[in-house]
Amino acid sequence: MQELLNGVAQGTVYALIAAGLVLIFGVVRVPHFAHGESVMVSGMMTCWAVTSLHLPVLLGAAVGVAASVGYGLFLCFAVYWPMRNHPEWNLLASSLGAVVITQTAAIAIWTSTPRVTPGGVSGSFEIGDAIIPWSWAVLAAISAAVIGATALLVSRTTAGVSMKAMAADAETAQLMGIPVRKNWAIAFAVGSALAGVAGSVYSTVFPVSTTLGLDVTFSALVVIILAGIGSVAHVLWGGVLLGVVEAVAGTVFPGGYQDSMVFLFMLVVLVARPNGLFGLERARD
Amino acid sequence: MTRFLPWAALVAGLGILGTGSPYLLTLAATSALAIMVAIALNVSMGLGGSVNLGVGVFYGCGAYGAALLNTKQGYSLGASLVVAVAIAVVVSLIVGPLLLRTRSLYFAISTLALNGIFVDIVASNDDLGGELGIPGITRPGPLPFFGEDGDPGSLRTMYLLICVALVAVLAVFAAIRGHRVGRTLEAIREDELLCQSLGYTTLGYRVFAFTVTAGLAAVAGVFYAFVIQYVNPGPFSFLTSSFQAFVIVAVGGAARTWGPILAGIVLVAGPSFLEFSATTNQYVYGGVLLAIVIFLPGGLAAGVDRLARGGAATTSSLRRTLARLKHTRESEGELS
Repeated sequence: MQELLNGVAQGTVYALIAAGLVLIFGVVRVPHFAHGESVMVSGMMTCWAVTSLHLPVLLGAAVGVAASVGYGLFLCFAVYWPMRNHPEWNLLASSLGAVVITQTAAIAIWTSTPRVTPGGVSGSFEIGDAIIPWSWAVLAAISAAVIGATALLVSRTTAGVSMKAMAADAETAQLMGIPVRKNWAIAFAVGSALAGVAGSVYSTVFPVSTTLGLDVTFSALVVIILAGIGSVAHVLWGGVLLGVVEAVAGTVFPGGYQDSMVFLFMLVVLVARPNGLFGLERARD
Repeated sequence: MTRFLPWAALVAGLGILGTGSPYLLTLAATSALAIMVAIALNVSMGLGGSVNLGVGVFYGCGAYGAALLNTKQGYSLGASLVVAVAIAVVVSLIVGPLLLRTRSLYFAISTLALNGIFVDIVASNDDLGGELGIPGITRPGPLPFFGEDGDPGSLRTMYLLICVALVAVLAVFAAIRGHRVGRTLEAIREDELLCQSLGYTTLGYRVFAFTVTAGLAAVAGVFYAFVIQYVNPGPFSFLTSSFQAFVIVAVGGAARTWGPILAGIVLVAGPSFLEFSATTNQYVYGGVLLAIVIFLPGGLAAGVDRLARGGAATTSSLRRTLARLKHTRESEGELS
């Protein structure tokens, strides 16, 4: 029971990060492997703002999210936008190049010691015989709320609907007068903001380090595979599923093999249902 | 004659490096192995168009296979080469058809997962050395013309054998690229549906490319085990093996015979000979990678081509043929 609840809490954070990646990957078709770096940048900036500038946690989180959005927009317009007509693997290579540079710079600035932002929520409560820290509940609640808000943004606003049109057929969407460049900016800004929220909130509960970026990206990709690329809301279920699988694998195989179980689970899903477990739409590639 | 010029240059360059100090030889040998893995990847990624981010698995199969066969069974380099490569080929024939059901980025992610599983297994299983790895692999004796005194520790012999393997792997790539099979693979990369409608079993060709990549990467792995004499999970993780090979192919120019050589010199051999600090090395690596991918979409090989032709860009005849075929098919479709 305790492990399952741990998994659910962890899973909602995965889902939040993955929801941001769905926007970027689904709408503008950029394999943004530097998405995890946005999470890292936000976590480190939040921690720096709170410990060095002595800002309150909420303001520190705002600093983190702003840094993350700035980072995402910078990559969008300095790297990906000029390459929009290049083959997909060139974009993939450039995002990995960005990962290498960002991680090296981050280690040079902040070293690679994990750190926690002080001043998060403390105390805990009990469900049955499981003890849940309040901070985890806050983490899960914020994640779920932000994912819900993003899902509404995509389904209810003009910008969201035009982004869906771009995801369906970028060329036709452009012919119909949809502002492609603006939607790129929105997708990257909102997507990186979600990563930023995840990074700053996570840093108040668990230690974050400068080297976590790629692992975070991999987890987000696994969630997207489980959930299918079609929908922001489905991502929540994909994230929770990943968290639970990880927790169960951790208890069943205590001596390693935890990563293998997660990857193996993903591979089985991918081979058996190439559109994801919850994906109803047909994948286009 | 000019088509043999690059080969002569390659052999000459490797020969000159071969006269260097043991330190230089080790650097040259590891760079050559990184390039070999990239050439292997170029078959499935460059020709076949499947972005395989798990080539490190087969590189590792070769290395771990050779390490176990040599330390536990006393196999020589030649015998390990045959058996370990066979193991990698069998593994690739099992996982290939399954993974190749997915396409483009889904394929990339599933091969990435495969790499994660491989590293996790070898790091967690004590029979496979665990985190500590397997030490004590014995190199073959020095070649007769070096003699025991001329090549203590057989490093120069290993370097020479690796050079032979590098040239052989490159020749295999060039042969596939020039053969009907390679052309079919390139056509599948450009338009799989069109090739299916022309009667090609595209999955078969893609599995073939995947398996060739696996086999050639395993060759590099076997030589890795024998030249370093120690294997551990680190060098076969995504970042150090598959990522590196992917970057070398992308920077050199996908499907280009000389692309991996050029990119390997610029990205791997160059920085390690210049002896930057680790941090500077990473900045240079990331920066050069970004600059080339953004400004030279066809890679270094296309850049060299353009220089040689005085600035004119070229369209491949394959692309033109495919476009024409597609056009004919579409207009036939409209008529019926």
